[in-house]
Amino acid sequence: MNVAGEDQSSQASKAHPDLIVRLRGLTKTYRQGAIEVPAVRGVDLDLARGEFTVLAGPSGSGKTTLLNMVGALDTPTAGTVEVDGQTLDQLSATQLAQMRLQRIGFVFQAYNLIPVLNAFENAEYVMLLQGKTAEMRQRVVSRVLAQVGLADLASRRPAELSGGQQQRVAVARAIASAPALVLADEPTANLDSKSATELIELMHTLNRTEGMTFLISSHDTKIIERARRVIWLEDGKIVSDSAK
Amino acid sequence: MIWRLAWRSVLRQRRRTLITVIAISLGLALILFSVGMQIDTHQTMIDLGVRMGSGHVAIQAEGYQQHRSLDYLLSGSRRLLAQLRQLSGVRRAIPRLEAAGLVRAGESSAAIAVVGVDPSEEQAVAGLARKSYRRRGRYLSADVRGNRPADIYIGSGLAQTLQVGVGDRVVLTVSPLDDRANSSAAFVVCGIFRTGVTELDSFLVQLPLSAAQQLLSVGDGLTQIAVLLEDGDSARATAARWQARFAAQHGTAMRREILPWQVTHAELYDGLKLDKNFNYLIAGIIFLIIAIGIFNTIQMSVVERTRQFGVMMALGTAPRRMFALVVAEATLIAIVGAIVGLAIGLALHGLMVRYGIDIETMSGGVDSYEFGGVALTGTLHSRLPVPIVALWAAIIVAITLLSGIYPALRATRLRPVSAMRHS
Ligand SMILES: Nc1ncnc2c1ncn2[C@@H]1O[C@H](COP(=O)(O)OP(=O)(O)OP(=O)(O)O)[C@@H](O)[C@H]1O
Ligand SMILES: [Mg+2]
Repeated sequence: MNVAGEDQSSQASKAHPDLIVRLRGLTKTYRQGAIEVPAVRGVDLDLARGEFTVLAGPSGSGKTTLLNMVGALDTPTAGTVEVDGQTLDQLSATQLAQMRLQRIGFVFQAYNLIPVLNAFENAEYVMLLQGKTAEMRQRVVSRVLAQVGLADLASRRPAELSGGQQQRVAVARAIASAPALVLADEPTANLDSKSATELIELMHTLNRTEGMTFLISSHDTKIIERARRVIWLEDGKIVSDSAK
Repeated sequence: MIWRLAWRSVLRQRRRTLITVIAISLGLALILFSVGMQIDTHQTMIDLGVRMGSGHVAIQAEGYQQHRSLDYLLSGSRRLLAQLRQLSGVRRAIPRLEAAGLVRAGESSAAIAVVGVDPSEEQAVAGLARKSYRRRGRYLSADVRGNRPADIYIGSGLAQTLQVGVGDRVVLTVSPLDDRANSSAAFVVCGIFRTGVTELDSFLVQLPLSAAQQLLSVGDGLTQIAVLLEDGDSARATAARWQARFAAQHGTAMRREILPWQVTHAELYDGLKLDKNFNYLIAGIIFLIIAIGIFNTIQMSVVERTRQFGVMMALGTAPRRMFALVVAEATLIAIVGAIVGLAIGLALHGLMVRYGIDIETMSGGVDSYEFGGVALTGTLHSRLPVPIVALWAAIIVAITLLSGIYPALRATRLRPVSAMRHS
């Protein structure tokens, strides 16, 4: 996949219908008093629909910062983010929330779930926010819980599930909302290696069968080896981008 | 969904919710209890005061309220009494003739207020004439028997000063309306009362109206007609209406003052108002303490869930939904607290209605409590009109909701990225 080759500066939305993510000159500098900490420094990146990409790199290289900007959770200091043809530059907090709700599925590192809701209700949560009908939620959530292998545990609360099971509920929730893109920031960091492998296999399967686009950050060599495309980040810059 | 989430979140913090609900419900119960007792006490005192005194509405010649002299007599009183008794909303119309006088028995004498009354009317009204105040003898009898002295009804304090008992003679001296300097007559003590109010027990006597009118040479003149209304709360409005109607009928030819009890019993009215305001102050303090407690609880529950709220916002939950969630939690706590508080408060009210609290028990031995010219005796009960109950329940719910607003606003201001890093 070609990364920095094109120099398109078109601002029109849906200008790149085949691209789910398009980053240009993406920069994020944190300010701590007088000191400036550059976390992401001029990243250009394109992700095509249906890709499965791992963002790798040492601790502090800017993986989380980058994912947060792609996920409309944080705003860049400079550069542009386009997700599913929509430029995020000038959106208000509420519009960004709407963007996340409609187009992006999230799997966080830990504490993904709402403790007072059971697995089914957690998986249903984003669909509820999207205003989907009860009948549709019932149908979709039953299917995705079966896909992540938790059909039998639908009525358990997060506290009654293992860490791996909790992360699978989070994956179920992410895909139930039918997003254009699923972002996962070190989703396996708190899991044992068996659960981690299972979770990654699950995501690969969903990528293959549903054609869903995944962007995952990870340290884990097993995950990195297994990915079709790996982007290496160092000091906030892409140092290599390799596709198998 | 918001209600389900709110309900479960509230239930999850079982102990904290319980403490908050207890604080709200005890606060409400306490206020209902004290308000109920206060309303009953006040109503009882007003009722006693207007029966013994000037009625809900007093009709007098203009100027009498200020000068209190026989120069301000109510004329045409017979017709006026008959007219008043025809009016709807009037329970009783009570004729009174009051003057200053001196009472003597043997070597002792005392300055007193003389009140001429219609004995059968007074017994029906149950003011000073009520049985529970009678210590000795009987009440006044209406019939004046030839040359025999008429009855006089005196208080226990006066009886002690004069060293007289039932059946003893006393001589009453007054300044009559005609030219004579003084007018005296002998009376026989028919009974002795004790109200607990010194001004009455030591300084007031009652006579049959006809005997008083004769002694004072006022013909059928009265100083006042005290009117008891069916609805005491309408005293002000009724007095104003009558005053306007009277002015329209008679113009400036004849002037009367038609005054509500709030004016004629100003001391009682002001005292009750002060007592009420003091109660509001206490209620305000109780509510402030409750509000601080609730605020603290909700604030804590929001801070504790910073990470969870961060995740919810990251997933696309709109800020106004976060606000609604926190307010919904406060609402549930408020409603449960109000329901429990109503249950406890109304149960206490029921006990007070049924059994009451004896004044002697409350005051530690004193059997009456004097206030604004009225003595409260016996047992205190409770009275709680539905609108009052609803008002206080609504106030506590509103306070709970207000306490939730700031924490709810804080929840909307969370930034998902930093909130999720919160530990
Ligand atoms: N809120 C912040 N304020 C200041 N500096 C920050 C903040 N967040 C991140 N940084 C800095 O930005 C740089 C990139 O951080 P980031 O969390 O994106 O790295 P990462 O690749 O996700 O690391 P890890 O693998 O440890 O999660 C680091 O130097 C970090 O210290
Ligand atoms: Mg990170």
